[in-house]
Amino acid sequence: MNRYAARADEFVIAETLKQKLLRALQRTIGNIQEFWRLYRKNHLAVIGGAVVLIFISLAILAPYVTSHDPEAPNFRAIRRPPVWSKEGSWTYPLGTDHLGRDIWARIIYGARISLFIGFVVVGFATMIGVALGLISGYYGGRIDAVIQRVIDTLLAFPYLILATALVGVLGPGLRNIVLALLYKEWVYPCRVVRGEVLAAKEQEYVEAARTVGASSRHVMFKEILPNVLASTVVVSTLRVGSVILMEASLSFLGLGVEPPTPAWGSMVAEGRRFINTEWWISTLPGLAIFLTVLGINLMGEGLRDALDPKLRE
Amino acid sequence: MDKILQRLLQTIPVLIGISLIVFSLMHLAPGDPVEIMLGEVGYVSQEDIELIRAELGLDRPLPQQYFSFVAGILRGDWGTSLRARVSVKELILERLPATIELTFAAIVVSLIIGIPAGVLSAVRRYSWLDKLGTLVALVGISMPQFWLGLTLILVFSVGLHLLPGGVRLAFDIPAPPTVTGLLLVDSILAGDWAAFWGALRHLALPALTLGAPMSALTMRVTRSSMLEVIRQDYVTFAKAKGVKELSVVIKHALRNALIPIVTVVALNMGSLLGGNMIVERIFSWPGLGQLVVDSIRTYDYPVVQVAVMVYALTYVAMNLIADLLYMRLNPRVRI
Repeated sequence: MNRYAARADEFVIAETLKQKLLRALQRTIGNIQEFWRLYRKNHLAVIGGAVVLIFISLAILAPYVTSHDPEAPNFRAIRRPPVWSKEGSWTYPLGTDHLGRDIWARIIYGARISLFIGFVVVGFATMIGVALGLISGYYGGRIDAVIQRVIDTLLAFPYLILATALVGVLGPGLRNIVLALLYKEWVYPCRVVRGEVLAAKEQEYVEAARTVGASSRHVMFKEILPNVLASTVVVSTLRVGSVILMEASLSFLGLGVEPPTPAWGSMVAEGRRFINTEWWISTLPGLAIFLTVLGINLMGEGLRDALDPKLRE
Repeated sequence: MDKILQRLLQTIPVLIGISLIVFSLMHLAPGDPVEIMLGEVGYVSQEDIELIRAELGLDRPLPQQYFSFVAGILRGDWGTSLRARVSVKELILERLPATIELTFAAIVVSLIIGIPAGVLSAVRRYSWLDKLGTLVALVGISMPQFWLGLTLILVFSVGLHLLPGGVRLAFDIPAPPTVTGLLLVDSILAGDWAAFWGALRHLALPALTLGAPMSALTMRVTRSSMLEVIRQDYVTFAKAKGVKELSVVIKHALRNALIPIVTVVALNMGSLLGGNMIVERIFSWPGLGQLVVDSIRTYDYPVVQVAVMVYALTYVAMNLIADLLYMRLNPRVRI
C-alpha cells in the first residue's frame, strides 16, 4: 500500500514538474512572439537586423564564402577593379588591393575582427557596468560618490584620444585593443543602470521585498536587475555600433590588429593613397563599416521600441 | 551662489583623477618606457638610458614622481619632447590654433545643419520630412568619420574640383601675419581677403566631416526639445492669438528650446575633440590631434601625456561653462 502511495506521489510530482516546465516554455514562446510582434512593426529595424545577421554569418562562414586567402599577396592581380566595371571579373568580385589581395575576402575576414571586438568589449563592459551600477545606485553614499567621480573623470577624456593613448602605450594587438576600449566603455551601462536603480528603489515592489526581510543581494539581483535589463539591452546594442567605429578608427590610425590581418579601418587607410584612381580599395571596406554600424543602430532603435516603451521619445 | 560653488568644487576630484590617469599613462607600458622609447634608435648605451631616466625623473619613487609632475604642470613647465628636443608647451601652443579653428568651424556647421533640420522635423512631426530627417541623422551617427572625409574628398576635390581636400591654406597664397594663429581671424585683422577666402575654402570639408555626427545629434536634441516646448501653453496661446507660424516657431518655441541644445552640444564636445584626430589626419591639418598620433608612433610620451591632458581639461572647462550657463539661463534648475 505504502509503496503504491509513494509511486503515486512521484507520479504527481513528475506531472506537476512537467506542467510547470511546459508553462514556462509556453510563456517564453509567448514572450518571444510578443517581442517579435512589436519589433516587426519597425521595418527599418528588421532590415537593420537582417544586415547585421548577414555580416555575422559571413564572418563565421568566411572560409566557405570565399576561396581567396585574405592575407596572401598576389602580384599578378594588383588593383583589379570590381566586377561591375568593364575590366572586372567574378574572380575578384570587389576587386583587389595594392598587393593583389581579394577585397571581398578581406572584408568578410575583417568582419570577424570588428564584430568580435564590438561584442566582446560591450559584453564585458555591460557585466562590469551593471554590477557597479547596481552597487552604486543601491547603496548610495560614499561608494556611490567614488564610482561617480571615477566616471566623471573617464568621461572627461575624449574616447578616441584615451583609447589611442592606451593602445600606444600598451602596444597594438587584439587583447590590448579590447583592454583600451574597456577602460572607458563600462561607464555607459553603469550610468544607465544606476539611474534605473535609483528610480526602481522608490517603487513599491522593492519596498515590499525589503519589508518581508529580503537580503540586499536578493533585492538587487532578483527584484531590481530583471527590471533594468530591458534598458541595459537597448543601450548595449547601441554601444556595439560605437565600439565598432572606435576600433575602425584605431586601426585607421595604424593602432589596430597587426597587418596583414585584415581589419576594416586599416583597409581604408591603406587604400587612401589610391583614392584618386582605384577608389574601391578604401571605399568598399568603409562601406562595410557603415552598413554594419547602421544595421546595429537600426536594430537598437527597434529593440528600444519593442522592449522598453518608456524609453521612446 | 552656493550651487555655483558646489559645482566648482565638484571639478576638483575630476582634475585630480585626470592628473592620475595622465601620469599613469607612461607607467602602463609593459617593460621599461625608456627602453621602448629608445628601442627605435638602435644602438643605445646603458649610460644614455640612465641619463634619460634621470631627465624624466623615472629613477625616483612613484609618489614623488607624481607630485613633481603635477607641480610642473601647475608651474607651466610641461617637460621636453624627446624627439623634437623643444619644450612640450611650445609644440602644443603651436598646434593648438589649428585645432581650435577647426573645432569651432565644426560646431558652427553642426548648428547650421542641426537646428533648422530639428525644428523642421518637430514642426512637421511624423511627416515624410521628419522620417527622412531621423534616418539621415542615424546615417550621420553610423558613418565612420574617416570614410566620410575620404568620400567628401573623392567627390568635391577629386571629382568636382570644387574644394581643396587638405592643409590649411594653398601654398601659393601667403599666410597673414600670425596674431591669434587662427587663420580666419588673422586674415581679417590683416585685411587680407584672398587669404580669408582661401582659408575658408580649406576649412569647408574638414569642418563638415568633423561636424557631421554632431549635427545629427544636434538635430535629434532640437527635435525632442522643440516637441516638448510646442506643447506648452504659451505656444498654444501665441498661436491662438494669431501670431504667424514662423514667428511662433522661432520667437516663442526655439528660444526656449535652445537651453537643452546648448547643454547637449557642450556635453558632446568630447566626441568632437576625439574626432579631431581622424579629421586632422585625413586633411593633413597641422593640429593637436596629428601631434598626438605622431607622438604615440614615436613613443614621445611627455608630449602624449600633456596633449591628452589638454584635451581632458578642455572638456572639463566646456562642461563647466555649459553647466554654469544652464544655471544662469534656467533658474528652475537645481543641480
